[in-house]
Amino acid sequence: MLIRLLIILVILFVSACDEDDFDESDSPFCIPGASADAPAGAPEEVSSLTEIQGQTAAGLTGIDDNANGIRDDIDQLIEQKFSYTPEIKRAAEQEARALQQFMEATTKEAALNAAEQMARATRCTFKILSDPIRDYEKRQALSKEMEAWTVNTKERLTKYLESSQLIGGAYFMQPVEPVCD
Amino acid sequence: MKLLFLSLSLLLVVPFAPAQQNNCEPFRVVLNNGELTTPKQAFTALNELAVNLGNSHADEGVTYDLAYNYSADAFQELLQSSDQRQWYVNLARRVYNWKYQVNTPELNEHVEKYREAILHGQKVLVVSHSQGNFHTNLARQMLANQKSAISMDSFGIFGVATPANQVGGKPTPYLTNHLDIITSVPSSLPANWTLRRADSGKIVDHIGSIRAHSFSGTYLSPYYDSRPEIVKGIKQQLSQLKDPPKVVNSGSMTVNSGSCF
Repeated sequence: MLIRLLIILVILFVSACDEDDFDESDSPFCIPGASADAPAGAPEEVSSLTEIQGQTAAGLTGIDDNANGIRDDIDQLIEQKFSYTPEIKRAAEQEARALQQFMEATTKEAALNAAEQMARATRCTFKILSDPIRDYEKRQALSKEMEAWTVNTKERLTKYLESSQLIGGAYFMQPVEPVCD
Repeated sequence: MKLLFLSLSLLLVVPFAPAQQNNCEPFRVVLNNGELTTPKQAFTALNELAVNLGNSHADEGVTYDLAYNYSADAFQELLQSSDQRQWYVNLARRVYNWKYQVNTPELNEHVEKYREAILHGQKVLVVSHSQGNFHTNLARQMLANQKSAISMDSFGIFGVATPANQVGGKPTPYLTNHLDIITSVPSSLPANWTLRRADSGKIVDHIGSIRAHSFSGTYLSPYYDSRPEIVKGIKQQLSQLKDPPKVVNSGSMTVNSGSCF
């Protein structure tokens, strides 16, 4: 009976991942395009929801040719998908900087500071896209894709989770205005 | 006497500090996130809650905080797994044999913030998702058992997708949909909501049990009827919270003016 239930659960997990409308952020391991047989330690590209491919080289920091504090691949993503208004573009850029800063944090203090920036950036996005129903897809897409692209290699994901662990148990109060840079 | 004067002076000065302004509203809604949730996902879920509940309740302001939990073991397994399906097997085992141990030191800061808020005259409602319900239930116990007692009528919990068998020592309030994987956890509270499409009213039957567990993706999604029910349930709980009493204890003075200072 136990084994049967376990098998059912496994099927449910896997089938959820295979569904077209499965929300990949529900399970960080359910990465669209990622091979189930990919060896551990190998860089895992995120075949993203958009057409462009993210940088998978240049370590954690990636390449930032225009020196705006945002990786070029993320700049490209923002340009392609999150520039439908100037304020959305600014919010997406704020999110990109906060996520990258958080991923690169090496101390608890740095991770907490970066997480505060992430809280501000997320609140900024939701402040702009504030209609509970109409804006739902837009703000969810922005939040999910910015995170997925930021941590698009095993190295980046590992470091990102290390930063997350550093702030386990932390308490974040609602950011004060202004939340948008 | 000098100390008392200094304390009162500080209390009078603090309200005018800009950084405190929007954290002094009468209501504080706190999200306690579930397992395998990154900080970014937790902030996103918190803000999804905020846009649905709004900035006020019964003409009183609401602020939104995050009490963050990190799932060390689950994320570790995720990173070490080279086989996606094997990871699902492990996760299934974890869910089925849920022997969750709350990491108490992680809770200390959360409990302290809840206490501070209530002592500052605020009412606190924790919305807990998934394993966050274990955390919040224990936090409530810690809060209630502290030597210097506070008004527990000012502290409430609303559970979402809970694996626990109670909500702060009571059988309600919570909402778990009928497809949610969490209902497989032994002795968890049973599903009490049949998930339907918001547009057609049709019962949802194949979104997958993990997807059905998602806070932002399902429970607060405008595509499903759980969203208005959760908003209604949370508002009912907010209405039931009592203003913390004005207290002057012997020895140290604990001031509550019904507003933050």
